[in-house]
Amino acid sequence: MSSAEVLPAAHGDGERQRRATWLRSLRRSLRPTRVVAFVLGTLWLCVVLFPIYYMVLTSFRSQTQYLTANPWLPTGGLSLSSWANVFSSTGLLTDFVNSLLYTAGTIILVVVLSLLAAFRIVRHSTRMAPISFRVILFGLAVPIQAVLIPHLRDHGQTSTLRHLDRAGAGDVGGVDGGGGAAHRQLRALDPW
Amino acid sequence: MTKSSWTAGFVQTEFGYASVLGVVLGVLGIAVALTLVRLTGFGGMQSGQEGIS
Repeated sequence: MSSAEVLPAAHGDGERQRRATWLRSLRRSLRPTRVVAFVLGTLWLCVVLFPIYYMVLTSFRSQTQYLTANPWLPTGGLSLSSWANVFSSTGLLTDFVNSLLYTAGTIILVVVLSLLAAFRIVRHSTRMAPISFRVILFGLAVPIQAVLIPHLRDHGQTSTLRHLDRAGAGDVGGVDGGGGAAHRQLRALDPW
Repeated sequence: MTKSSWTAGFVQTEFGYASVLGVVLGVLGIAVALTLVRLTGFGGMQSGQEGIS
Protein backbone atom coordinates (compact mmCIF):
# COMPACT_ATOMS: atom_id res chain seq x y z
CA MET A 1 0.00 0.00 0.00
CA SER A 2 1.40 3.36 -0.96
CA SER A 3 1.68 6.25 1.46
CA ALA A 4 -0.81 8.22 -0.64
CA GLU A 5 -3.52 5.63 0.22
CA VAL A 6 -2.66 5.53 3.97
CA LEU A 7 -2.59 9.28 4.62
CA PRO A 8 -6.31 10.09 4.08
CA ALA A 9 -7.35 7.23 6.42
CA ALA A 10 -4.91 8.43 9.11
CA HIS A 11 -6.18 11.97 8.65
CA GLY A 12 -9.79 10.73 9.10
CA ASP A 13 -8.83 8.84 12.29
CA GLY A 14 -7.18 11.95 13.72
CA GLU A 15 -10.28 13.99 12.98
CA ARG A 16 -12.52 11.40 14.65
CA GLN A 17 -10.21 11.30 17.66
CA ARG A 18 -10.22 15.08 17.99
CA ARG A 19 -14.00 15.11 17.71
CA ALA A 20 -14.34 12.41 20.38
CA THR A 21 -11.99 14.30 22.72
CA TRP A 22 -13.94 17.50 22.18
CA LEU A 23 -17.25 15.71 22.89
CA ARG A 24 -15.81 14.16 26.07
CA SER A 25 -14.60 17.53 27.33
CA LEU A 26 -17.97 19.12 26.45
CA ARG A 27 -19.80 16.37 28.39
CA ARG A 28 -17.46 16.94 31.35
CA SER A 29 -18.09 20.68 31.22
CA LEU A 30 -21.86 20.21 31.13
CA ARG A 31 -22.02 17.99 34.21
CA PRO A 32 -24.75 19.34 36.56
CA THR A 33 -22.24 19.96 39.37
CA ARG A 34 -20.05 22.01 37.05
CA VAL A 35 -23.00 24.01 35.70
CA VAL A 36 -24.20 24.76 39.26
CA ALA A 37 -20.65 25.75 40.28
CA PHE A 38 -20.40 28.02 37.22
CA VAL A 39 -23.73 29.73 37.98
CA LEU A 40 -22.88 30.19 41.67
CA GLY A 41 -19.41 31.46 40.76
CA THR A 42 -20.87 33.97 38.32
CA LEU A 43 -23.37 35.18 40.93
CA TRP A 44 -20.58 35.57 43.47
CA LEU A 45 -18.49 37.46 40.90
CA CYS A 46 -21.39 39.91 40.46
CA VAL A 47 -21.63 40.36 44.26
CA VAL A 48 -17.89 41.00 44.52
CA LEU A 49 -17.74 43.33 41.52
CA PHE A 50 -20.80 45.38 42.43
CA PRO A 51 -19.07 47.67 45.00
CA ILE A 52 -16.38 48.48 42.43
CA TYR A 53 -19.01 49.20 39.77
CA TYR A 54 -20.94 51.34 42.28
CA MET A 55 -17.79 53.28 43.21
CA VAL A 56 -16.90 53.98 39.58
CA LEU A 57 -20.51 54.98 38.82
CA THR A 58 -20.68 57.30 41.87
CA SER A 59 -17.41 58.96 40.88
CA PHE A 60 -19.12 60.16 37.69
CA ARG A 61 -22.05 61.71 39.55
CA SER A 62 -22.56 65.05 41.24
CA GLN A 63 -24.01 65.13 44.76
CA THR A 64 -27.50 65.90 43.40
CA GLN A 65 -27.33 63.08 40.86
CA TYR A 66 -26.11 60.73 43.58
CA LEU A 67 -29.14 61.51 45.74
CA THR A 68 -31.76 61.41 42.96
CA ALA A 69 -30.61 59.06 40.17
CA ASN A 70 -31.06 55.30 39.98
CA PRO A 71 -28.25 53.81 42.10
CA TRP A 72 -28.02 50.65 39.97
CA LEU A 73 -27.84 52.11 36.46
CA PRO A 74 -25.96 55.02 34.87
CA THR A 75 -29.12 57.02 34.33
CA GLY A 76 -29.80 60.68 35.07
CA GLY A 77 -26.66 61.94 33.32
CA LEU A 78 -23.03 61.64 34.25
CA SER A 79 -20.81 64.41 35.55
CA LEU A 80 -17.07 64.95 35.85
CA SER A 81 -17.41 67.50 38.67
CA SER A 82 -16.05 65.11 41.34
CA TRP A 83 -13.00 64.33 39.19
CA ALA A 84 -12.44 68.06 38.63
CA ASN A 85 -12.73 68.65 42.40
CA VAL A 86 -10.16 65.98 43.22
CA PHE A 87 -7.60 67.00 40.61
CA SER A 88 -8.00 70.75 41.19
CA SER A 89 -7.44 70.41 44.93
CA THR A 90 -3.94 70.55 46.36
CA GLY A 91 -4.72 67.77 48.83
CA LEU A 92 -4.36 64.88 46.38
CA LEU A 93 -0.56 65.08 46.18
CA THR A 94 -0.20 65.37 49.96
CA ASP A 95 -2.55 62.43 50.44
CA PHE A 96 -0.57 60.43 47.90
CA VAL A 97 2.76 61.20 49.58
CA ASN A 98 1.26 60.28 52.98
CA SER A 99 0.00 56.97 51.60
CA LEU A 100 3.38 56.29 50.00
CA LEU A 101 5.26 56.97 53.24
CA TYR A 102 2.90 54.84 55.31
CA THR A 103 2.92 51.97 52.82
CA ALA A 104 6.70 51.95 52.37
CA GLY A 105 7.28 52.16 56.14
CA THR A 106 4.82 49.36 56.82
CA ILE A 107 6.27 47.08 54.14
CA ILE A 108 9.86 47.59 55.31
CA LEU A 109 8.88 46.91 58.93
CA VAL A 110 6.83 43.81 58.04
CA VAL A 111 9.49 42.32 55.74
CA VAL A 112 12.33 42.85 58.26
CA LEU A 113 10.36 41.55 61.25
CA SER A 114 8.83 38.58 59.42
CA LEU A 115 12.22 37.55 58.01
CA LEU A 116 13.78 37.59 61.45
CA ALA A 117 10.80 35.80 63.01
CA ALA A 118 10.70 33.18 60.22
CA PHE A 119 14.40 32.42 60.63
CA ARG A 120 14.04 32.01 64.38
CA ILE A 121 10.90 29.84 64.14
CA VAL A 122 12.20 27.54 61.40
CA ARG A 123 15.87 27.21 62.39
CA HIS A 124 15.68 27.08 66.19
CA SER A 125 13.51 24.37 67.68
CA THR A 126 13.10 25.88 71.10
CA ARG A 127 9.91 25.49 73.14
CA MET A 128 8.91 29.09 72.50
CA ALA A 129 9.26 28.93 68.69
CA PRO A 130 6.03 26.99 67.94
CA ILE A 131 4.15 29.00 70.58
CA SER A 132 5.18 32.32 69.02
CA PHE A 133 4.30 30.93 65.59
CA ARG A 134 0.79 30.09 66.81
CA VAL A 135 0.44 33.54 68.37
CA ILE A 136 1.34 35.09 65.00
CA LEU A 137 -1.19 32.82 63.25
CA PHE A 138 -3.81 33.83 65.81
CA GLY A 139 -3.21 37.45 64.80
CA LEU A 140 -4.39 36.57 61.28
CA ALA A 141 -7.78 35.54 62.67
CA VAL A 142 -8.49 39.08 63.90
CA PRO A 143 -10.40 40.99 61.19
CA ILE A 144 -8.52 44.10 60.11
CA GLN A 145 -11.68 46.23 60.34
CA ALA A 146 -12.02 45.39 64.04
CA VAL A 147 -8.62 46.99 64.61
CA LEU A 148 -8.64 49.77 62.04
CA ILE A 149 -12.05 51.35 62.66
CA PRO A 150 -11.62 51.85 66.45
CA HIS A 151 -8.12 53.17 65.72
CA LEU A 152 -9.54 55.71 63.27
CA ARG A 153 -12.28 56.59 65.76
CA ASP A 154 -9.88 57.13 68.65
CA HIS A 155 -6.90 58.66 66.88
CA GLY A 156 -7.95 59.63 63.35
CA GLN A 157 -9.86 62.76 64.37
CA THR A 158 -7.34 64.01 66.92
CA SER A 159 -4.08 63.01 65.29
CA THR A 160 -1.34 65.57 65.84
CA LEU A 161 0.66 64.44 62.81
CA ARG A 162 1.00 67.47 60.58
CA HIS A 163 -0.57 66.03 57.40
CA LEU A 164 -2.98 63.54 58.84
CA ASP A 165 -4.81 65.95 61.13
CA ARG A 166 -5.77 68.04 58.10
CA ALA A 167 -8.15 65.31 56.99
CA GLY A 168 -9.62 65.00 60.46
CA ALA A 169 -10.06 68.74 60.82
CA GLY A 170 -12.86 68.78 58.25
CA ASP A 171 -10.99 69.84 55.13
CA VAL A 172 -10.41 67.03 52.68
CA GLY A 173 -8.82 68.24 49.48
CA GLY A 174 -10.94 70.99 48.05
CA VAL A 175 -14.20 69.79 49.59
CA ASP A 176 -16.02 72.26 51.79
CA GLY A 177 -16.24 70.76 55.25
CA GLY A 178 -19.62 72.20 56.22
CA GLY A 179 -23.09 72.71 54.77
CA GLY A 180 -25.84 70.43 53.53
CA ALA A 181 -28.72 68.93 55.48
CA ALA A 182 -27.41 65.38 55.02
CA HIS A 183 -24.02 66.45 56.32
CA ARG A 184 -25.52 68.13 59.41
CA GLN A 185 -27.74 65.11 60.10
CA LEU A 186 -24.78 62.77 59.86
CA ARG A 187 -22.75 65.05 62.13
CA ALA A 188 -25.56 64.99 64.69
CA LEU A 189 -25.74 61.19 64.60
CA ASP A 190 -22.00 60.67 64.40
CA PRO A 191 -20.65 59.74 67.84
CA TRP A 192 -17.07 60.44 66.74
CA MET B 1 -5.66 58.76 50.58
CA THR B 2 -7.74 56.04 52.22
CA LYS B 3 -8.44 58.23 55.22
CA SER B 4 -9.31 61.21 53.03
CA SER B 5 -11.69 58.98 51.11
CA TRP B 6 -13.27 57.79 54.37
CA THR B 7 -13.63 61.34 55.70
CA ALA B 8 -15.01 62.69 52.41
CA GLY B 9 -17.54 59.86 52.17
CA PHE B 10 -18.72 59.19 55.69
CA VAL B 11 -18.05 62.47 57.51
CA GLN B 12 -18.65 65.06 54.80
CA THR B 13 -21.08 62.90 52.73
CA GLU B 14 -19.26 63.89 49.53
CA PHE B 15 -19.69 60.47 47.97
CA GLY B 16 -18.56 61.50 44.48
CA TYR B 17 -15.28 62.90 45.80
CA ALA B 18 -14.71 59.81 47.95
CA SER B 19 -15.44 57.51 45.00
CA VAL B 20 -12.95 59.33 42.79
CA LEU B 21 -10.28 58.89 45.47
CA GLY B 22 -11.19 55.19 45.65
CA VAL B 23 -10.93 54.77 41.87
CA VAL B 24 -7.58 56.63 41.76
CA LEU B 25 -6.28 54.48 44.61
CA GLY B 26 -7.39 51.30 42.81
CA VAL B 27 -5.77 52.34 39.53
CA LEU B 28 -2.53 53.27 41.32
CA GLY B 29 -2.55 49.92 43.13
CA ILE B 30 -2.99 47.99 39.88
CA ALA B 31 -0.26 50.05 38.20
CA VAL B 32 2.20 49.40 41.05
CA ALA B 33 1.36 45.69 41.08
CA LEU B 34 1.82 45.32 37.30
CA THR B 35 5.10 47.27 37.44
CA LEU B 36 6.40 45.01 40.21
CA VAL B 37 5.40 41.89 38.30
CA ARG B 38 7.19 43.20 35.21
CA LEU B 39 10.33 44.36 37.07
CA THR B 40 10.77 41.34 39.34
CA GLY B 41 9.75 38.71 36.80
CA PHE B 42 7.30 37.34 39.36
CA GLY B 43 4.83 36.28 36.64
CA GLY B 44 7.40 33.94 35.11
CA MET B 45 8.23 32.17 38.36
CA GLN B 46 7.44 28.46 38.56
CA SER B 47 6.85 26.29 41.54
CA GLY B 48 9.69 24.12 42.79
CA GLN B 49 7.16 21.30 42.79
CA GLU B 50 6.50 21.66 39.05
CA GLY B 51 6.44 18.28 37.30
CA ILE B 52 6.23 16.31 40.56
CA SER B 53 2.93 14.53 40.89
